[in-house]
Amino acid sequence: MSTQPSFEDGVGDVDLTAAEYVVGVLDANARGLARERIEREPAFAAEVAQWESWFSPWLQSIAPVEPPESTWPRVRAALWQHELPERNPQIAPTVPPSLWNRLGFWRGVAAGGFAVAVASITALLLTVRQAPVAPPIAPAPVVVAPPPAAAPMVVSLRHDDGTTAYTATVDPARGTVVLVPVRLEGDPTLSPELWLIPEGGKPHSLGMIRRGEAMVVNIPARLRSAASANGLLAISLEPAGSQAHEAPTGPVVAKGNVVRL
Amino acid sequence: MPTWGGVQEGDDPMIDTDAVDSGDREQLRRWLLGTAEGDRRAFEDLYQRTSAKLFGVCLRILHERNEAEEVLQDVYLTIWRKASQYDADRASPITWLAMIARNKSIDRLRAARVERASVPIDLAAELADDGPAAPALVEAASEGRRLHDCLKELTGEQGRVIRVAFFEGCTYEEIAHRSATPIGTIKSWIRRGLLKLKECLQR
Repeated sequence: MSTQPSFEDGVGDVDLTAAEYVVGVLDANARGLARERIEREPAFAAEVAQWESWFSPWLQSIAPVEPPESTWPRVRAALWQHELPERNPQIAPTVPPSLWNRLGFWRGVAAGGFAVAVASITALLLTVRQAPVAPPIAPAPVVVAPPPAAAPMVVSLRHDDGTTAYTATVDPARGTVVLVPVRLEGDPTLSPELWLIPEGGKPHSLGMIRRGEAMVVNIPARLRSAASANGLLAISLEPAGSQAHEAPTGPVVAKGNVVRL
Repeated sequence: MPTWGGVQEGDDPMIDTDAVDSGDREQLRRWLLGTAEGDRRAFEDLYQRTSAKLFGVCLRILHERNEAEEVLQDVYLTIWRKASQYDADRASPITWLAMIARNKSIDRLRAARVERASVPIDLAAELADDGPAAPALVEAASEGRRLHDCLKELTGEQGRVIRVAFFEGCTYEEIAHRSATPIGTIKSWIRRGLLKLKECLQR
């Protein structure tokens, strides 16, 4: 006898989880558990693959639909930002093209979703910082672990409906925000502007940013302490072609709290 | 009426062995291998060749174009980073790719499932015809025939509700609610049906 609640389905305790996962009837929680089993149990993973193969004719019966032309540029931007037209030099500091081009880095970005992506970008920044422009006079001291205050922080800039507009990594020590675009909603004729709002303070512009492009934004020295904790990053939509504003003039479409990694 | 692959009442898409394009499958496999090695050109070729297919899969689950676009972008980022995990012994390239699209779409559905919960499902009606599959991407001919044959061993309700679940990507609860059928009945149909399918497909 099983202690599990059994359904009056005549199937009893037979484990059909793999099939149920593939057919898509599991709720979010049960799907998550099934995913974990796929990672941990090779036999379960094989069972899922078997069901996927059995049901693949149904998948293949689904008619293709051309996606919008903007999708590929977005994918490319998220992976290889450097191939797009030049970044705004006022906003993006000069990162050596060789680093932007480095395959290992970009595969690293892709390796673990955005969480890892932002960590990897942080790794890039460290690499950039450590890359000697001239031969070092003396070996740099070995830093075993960065002090906690310098730890980068991850922010998901979300729309009101919960969808993510950008993922940002804030590095107060270096004074940078690395922005990775996801999808920015709102009037496409307007230009996004990035804001840093210290806890209890008023918004400070970090400059106009570009849609669909990963970029590195500098935080002015006077604002770096504000960025280190409990700050808010926000994006407003401003008239195209305008300069950084004193305060948002258009709607704030996405925001997120700065959270330590 | 499509000349081939059309879905009839109570029927499944039959895939003609002649339509199988093993060259295409091999090409997709090579692009996936290239992608796994970081070859952007291969990745772009893979995108150009498969994005319409995968967008169709996303749209089928999500219905909403904007959402499907967003998910499709995420799907290709996942493909780029997971290409090295592709196991040619386990799945055909297009099945592997389409399953990523399908799973991401269902995940999205689960994250925001409220608004669709009220759309009624008529379990007595057959799902709409999807039209022909892309011939060059069809390569599971024998699997197609087996699924088709084994579904015949299920009762009408079992087959239909599994089909609805698969194409709508909805939970037991949602199907029960949307079809105004007791959840025990829905679970029973689906689970009995799956068990029968498994027995048949394993033969």
